[in-house]
Amino acid sequence: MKKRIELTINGEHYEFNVEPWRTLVEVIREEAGLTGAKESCGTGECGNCLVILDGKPVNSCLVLAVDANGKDILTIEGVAEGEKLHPLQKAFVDHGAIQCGFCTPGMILAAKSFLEKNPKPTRMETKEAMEGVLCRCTGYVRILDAVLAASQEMMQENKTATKGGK
Amino acid sequence: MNSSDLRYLMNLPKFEYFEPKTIEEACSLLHKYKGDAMVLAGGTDLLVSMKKREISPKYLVNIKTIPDLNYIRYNGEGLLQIGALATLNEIKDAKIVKEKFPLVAEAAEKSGLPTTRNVATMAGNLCNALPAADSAPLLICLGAKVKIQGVEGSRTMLVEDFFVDSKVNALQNGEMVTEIQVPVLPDNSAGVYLKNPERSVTDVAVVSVGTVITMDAKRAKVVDAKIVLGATAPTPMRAHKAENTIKGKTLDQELIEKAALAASKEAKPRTRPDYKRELVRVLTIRAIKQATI
Amino acid sequence: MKKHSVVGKSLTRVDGIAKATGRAKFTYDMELPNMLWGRILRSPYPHAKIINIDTSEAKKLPGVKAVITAKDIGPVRYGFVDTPRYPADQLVLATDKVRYIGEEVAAVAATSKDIADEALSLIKVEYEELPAVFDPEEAMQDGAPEIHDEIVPDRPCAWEDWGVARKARSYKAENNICAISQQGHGDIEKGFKESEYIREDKFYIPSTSHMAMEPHVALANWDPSFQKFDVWLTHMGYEVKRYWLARALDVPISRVRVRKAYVGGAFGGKIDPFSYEFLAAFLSRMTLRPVKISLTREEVFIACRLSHRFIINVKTGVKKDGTIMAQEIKAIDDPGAYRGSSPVVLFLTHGFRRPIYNIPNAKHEGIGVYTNKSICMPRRGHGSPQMSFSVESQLDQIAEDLGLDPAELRLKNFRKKGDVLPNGDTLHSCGLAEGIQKAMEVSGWKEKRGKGRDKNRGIGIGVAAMFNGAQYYPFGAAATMKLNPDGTFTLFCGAIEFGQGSDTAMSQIAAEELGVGLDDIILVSADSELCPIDHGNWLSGGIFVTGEAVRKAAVNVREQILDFASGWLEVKEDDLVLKDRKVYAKSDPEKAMTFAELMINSIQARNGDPILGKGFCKPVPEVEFYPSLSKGTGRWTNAYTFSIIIAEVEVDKETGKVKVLKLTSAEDCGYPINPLAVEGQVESQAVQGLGDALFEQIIIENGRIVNPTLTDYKIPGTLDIPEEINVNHIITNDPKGPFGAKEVGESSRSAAIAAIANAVYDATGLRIKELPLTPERVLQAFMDKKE
Repeated sequence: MKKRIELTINGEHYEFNVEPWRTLVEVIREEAGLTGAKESCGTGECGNCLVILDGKPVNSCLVLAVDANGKDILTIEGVAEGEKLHPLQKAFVDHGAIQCGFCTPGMILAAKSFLEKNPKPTRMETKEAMEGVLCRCTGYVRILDAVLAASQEMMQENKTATKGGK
Repeated sequence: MNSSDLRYLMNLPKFEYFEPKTIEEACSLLHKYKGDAMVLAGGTDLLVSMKKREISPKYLVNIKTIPDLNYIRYNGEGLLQIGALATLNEIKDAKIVKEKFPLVAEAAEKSGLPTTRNVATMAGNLCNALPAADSAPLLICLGAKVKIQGVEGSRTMLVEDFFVDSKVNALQNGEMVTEIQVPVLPDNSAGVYLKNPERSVTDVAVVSVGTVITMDAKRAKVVDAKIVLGATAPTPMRAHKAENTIKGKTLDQELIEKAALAASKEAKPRTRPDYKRELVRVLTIRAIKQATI
Repeated sequence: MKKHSVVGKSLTRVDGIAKATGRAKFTYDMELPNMLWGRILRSPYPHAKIINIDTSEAKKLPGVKAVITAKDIGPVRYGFVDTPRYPADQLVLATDKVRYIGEEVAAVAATSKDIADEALSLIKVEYEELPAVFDPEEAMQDGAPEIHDEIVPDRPCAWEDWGVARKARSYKAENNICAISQQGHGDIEKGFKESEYIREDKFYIPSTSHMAMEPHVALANWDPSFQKFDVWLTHMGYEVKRYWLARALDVPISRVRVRKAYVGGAFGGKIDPFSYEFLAAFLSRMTLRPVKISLTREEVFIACRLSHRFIINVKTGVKKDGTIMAQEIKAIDDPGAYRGSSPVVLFLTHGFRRPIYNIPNAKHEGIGVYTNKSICMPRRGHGSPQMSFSVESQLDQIAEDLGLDPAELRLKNFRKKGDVLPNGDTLHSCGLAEGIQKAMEVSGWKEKRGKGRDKNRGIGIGVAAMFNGAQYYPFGAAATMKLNPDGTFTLFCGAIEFGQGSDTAMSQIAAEELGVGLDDIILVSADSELCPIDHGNWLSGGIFVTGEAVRKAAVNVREQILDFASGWLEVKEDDLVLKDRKVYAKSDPEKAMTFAELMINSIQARNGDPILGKGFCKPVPEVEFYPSLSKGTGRWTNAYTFSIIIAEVEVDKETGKVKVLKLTSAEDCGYPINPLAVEGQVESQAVQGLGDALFEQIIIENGRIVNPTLTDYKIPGTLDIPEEINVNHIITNDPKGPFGAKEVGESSRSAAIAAIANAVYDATGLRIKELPLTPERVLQAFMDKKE
């Protein structure tokens, strides 16, 4: 009954034999051993299992692993470059956007894919984009602060990068 | 007492899995396994229902492996064609939809959470046939159709007729929806989809109202009106009496209120009827006004 | 005041990077080699006799390594409350009957989750349904179904184990009554006689879920070679957990090691001992393999406790100028099928209100009643949210009835610094008056109140208070510390990090006393083997008690450093300064020694002494053991914190939807050890309170929770929060707390609920006495008012 699938997770190639009823989050956590993605509700409401699948944020508890065959996945473990934090990770730490930390991987990934689409968002746009990830600790205030601060930081970095390129 | 009452399972039940390469192959699998097989497209509703053990299909037919079902295109002759695999966010963000079919974009945008919309399809939203299906009211107002493919051939059907009962659609054994077809909005028309509570993680669509109103060239009289109520009956339903109240008339506050009252009487909520009828009334007033600004 | 260099600063959290990169391991993430998965079979009936359990088919299934029922372990009792008067009433596995839907009946351990699931379906349980009762007022009537037989303790109670020389008694719940509390002071009759206006209202509060994002989970590993358990739990304090594990598993307490793991939120929902924790341990000992039981969200809703359901009748008498003369409370608590924390919450509903208003005559009667429903336990404020909503709503209405400003009425009756409460607790600090004035000023209270109704806008106020640690076994906390060869320090303390920032705050406290930076403190926390005794991070004693123990440990180390350096450098102690991992003479900075040198020198010169420190603290040092839960007498705590919240709302009068626009908070936490963390705690509570006020509720029909998923039980998301949450620090420098600090985690939630309800009144003129204020309830109130 098992099916052989190939996944690229954080740039690395993986092959698994999985039953068709395994969800993507189970395979990422239990087979690939990447425990950053968390399953809190299992019904696609909390976004704590959010990963980026072929460039789009999805709840990995509602995707069959077999259905992700051949696809490219980014988890929180692939966001930093070695020990260098992504501006979002740094902003989350600096702005007190993290408390228990259980939702943080989903939050950072949701913010990352949002800022790639909308690099200079308003607070309201950020609220709308982050609607699908639930946090019980922070009350979201600092999370929104962090995302907006990171967007500034990232634009600055891009500018510097462009200049450097010349 | 079913098994879910005893076990609180949240992992998926076991099933056999198919990856057909053609629509024909998918239909023949569905046909072969009759009620035991279900189509997997986005899967966001299906997999939740399976985890909750509301349904336990023995076979899942993943149609994402069929090429050419993911498209959003305009046929040049007044028809928007949405393939069964187009996700809600793809529809919302498609240039042609934004430019020529803004109400389809609105229907997509108001369905589900942002992350869910990256996976969930509009066709799937219709096929689940929930009374609160968010994409249904506006599609019905727009006169949209679904294209259905079966082992015996294909047919089209109004979305309005596709909803048969709560969680029951009009598909026959061996059939699947391959496309949604939306005609272009007539001139001088506008529409809106309102739900209450509004969008927010904390909200479930207790009641929703979709409206499309076509005015005459002088924008004086209502030429045509469609008012569709969601989550107030086993299926999304047309509020015909409310529509007729304003058709051919010049709108004023009194008439709008009369139409809204008619809509609230037409609604058939099974639970909390007083509250839901009042919401239908309030939302219908707001919807008519917003569609005719 | 002395200027601080580490405390009082908004330093970023020490666990921030681990959490931002996904490296932080929660118990939920833990796996051990050769591990088995455990699953639990639960009761589908609210009340039924167990006739027979047949596990033979399940045992035959390949991959199943153990199946466990009450027959294997006997009637193992446990409970949050286990006092001479109220013996523990819960069972690890149901024996002769089940009392609520979701109660644990059997469990399995298997080589995979799928096999464990399949095994559950092969266990055949024969039940005989019994009449059930769900309404506490019905359950109290004669002839109602009896939920519990007499409970006869077969061993000393937890109190005796912790040194309280009073014997456990048996308990028979007459009319299903599981707890009684009779508190008060003054002369209530006289108080009402002297009142010029009396008002009586009845309030209803449903259960809610803590909804910590990490679901409940336990991993246990029995090592037969050392006869020892290693357990990883998602919890709030290891002492209570290992006490109960040791007792249930019948091993010495030193044979249970609770390991450190990050905890994904708690909010009171992870204090209680849980069946799944015991079962993981039992199954591990049966199979000699590690066993992990990871509960689903649905199981958490059903079997991992809810907040207390209450019916609260409040009668208050006042003078026409708003002076409160008397208050009589009758509270009915419905803790569900087991006692849960009922005796405690009944006391606290009174105890948390006592420090706020100076009410000369008070009477408080509380009754806890068993029903066939899921069990209730503390949730952030433990009784305070329920009582704050009730009393603060009524005070607001009294002000309205008498034409007084509700904020002024509160100010008039507030207690102040130096007040001694009827039980003997003293308010060594109290920021109530300053706080309300600040909140009024910042929110624009005077300009806005009573003036927004035509614009559908309103403003409201809520006030709440909280203990700073209280007497509960093990009755104290300690910390130890060592100097390292590189001049840094390692701090060992039991405080558990579940998001509140305790790892950071404890490190800050230690660093401040030793004149080093946060990076110079290496923290070992929440490992019961390595760290000394700790009462756990609950009853808001984290900073006030454990923090003080940490401070004293650092002071102890500092004293040793000064003592040694003074001799070695030949400088008087009071001339020495500790800074940047060095000790030097103020008068002659050349006379200096790095901490690294100091350690080496101390070992050489003092017979191997490497500098080790210890500190400890007891919540109320003056008294022994427990005060009375049922009478409310006796000392409880050494400090109270106060929260004031002003809410502004907008109400859609046609749909009933309430939108919270702004929350202004004034927070007396004594002194913020980390202002950023304090603000985070207040914002967190304000938003939780928003959910409680507007939409969160567990809906139970015939004993069945009908909304046990996040699809149906909604918590606030980004779009629900107000545009602004303004947190104002009211610094009162409590003399008993470390650096003047008190607590911050619990009281603002209560204040927020009351403030939002009162703001809805200001916007609409509707006084809704049942939580939550759903659109439906608000719209219905409008329609009722029209009629």
